[in-house]
Amino acid sequence: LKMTKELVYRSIGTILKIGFYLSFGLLLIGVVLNFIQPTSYANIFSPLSFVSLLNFDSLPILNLGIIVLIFTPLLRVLVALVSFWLEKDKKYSLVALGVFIILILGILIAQR
Amino acid sequence: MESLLMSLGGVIAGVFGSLLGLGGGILIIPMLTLLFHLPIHQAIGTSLVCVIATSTGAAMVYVENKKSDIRLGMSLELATTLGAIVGGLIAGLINQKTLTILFSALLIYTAYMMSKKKKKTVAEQNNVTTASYQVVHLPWGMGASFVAGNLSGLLGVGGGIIKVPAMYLLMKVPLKIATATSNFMIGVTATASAFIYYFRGDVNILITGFTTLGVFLGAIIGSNLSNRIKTEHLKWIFVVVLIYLSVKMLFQGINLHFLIF
Repeated sequence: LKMTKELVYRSIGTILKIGFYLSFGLLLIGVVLNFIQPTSYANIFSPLSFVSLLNFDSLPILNLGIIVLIFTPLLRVLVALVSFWLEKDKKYSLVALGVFIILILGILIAQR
Repeated sequence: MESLLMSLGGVIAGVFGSLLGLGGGILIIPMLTLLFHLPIHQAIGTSLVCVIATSTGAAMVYVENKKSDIRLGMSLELATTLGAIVGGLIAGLINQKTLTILFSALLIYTAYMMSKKKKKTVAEQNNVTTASYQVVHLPWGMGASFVAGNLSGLLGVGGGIIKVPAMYLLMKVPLKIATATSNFMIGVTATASAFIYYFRGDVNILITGFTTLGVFLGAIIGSNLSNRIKTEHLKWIFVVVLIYLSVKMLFQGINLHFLIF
């Protein structure tokens, strides 16, 4: 058993932390703003509309928080892929590449 | 006021989820459909985002103390992500009532699995690292993972209820590692189908924002409580709640929800 943590554990840990706190922070700001200036929630769906982000509207900030959260696992896989590659672990960098390709295909299917 | 209740519901789901090792989706979907009358497709979309939040928080801890087997997790994710995409697409073709009835069945299954869950022994809890065991029956594990992913994409839950027994019983992975690895995988699995729900318009930004924030808070509270609370009694309360919710969902699905109870 290695005493030092492998690169892949460290790098994934970092990505998870960034994603967790960034998304948590954005959602918190969005919810607080929405309490100050409430919007009704009949069928609100605004994919990737960040234009009004700078107006401090609650919805685009909440949207960004959700997007950050959904993309964190995708980044996690990408970071694992790079880490395995740097550790010369060919087999698992291929496995990570496979998962990454499936996720990208999923996005393409979803957008269609 | 309603949005405050949604966040509160998220907190409760997050606390119970982290105390009992569930993704939280199993509580969030009944809450959003039965209490807030959200269409079940939107409830599932919201739940998937919540499940990613829970998994990200849990994985952060498990990766830190090396309880997640990243290599095993990554291999099984090949199957869970494929299953999740298929499940997410199938959900788009199924009507509300059928999905509600399917969810009711999942609730009963979860109640059954929870009631069987034994206390973990101390020896099993500690003294395990990701290097001290040999994984067997990987192809069977892949099959089970595809089913778990499918369930996740179709009904918006984490699918740990299938993956953990598959890893523990079938692949002979120690229970603690199996649980940690399952939690680690859930985020990636849920993301695969979350994209489908998001672009289909089934992720209501406001409702999802409020509920997910609650889940974040609940998960933080829950992980701090877990060393001080005996989950044995909690488990049985939860089994009763799950059975109750299952009956309610079933009645909703077969148009008998006017029956008051």
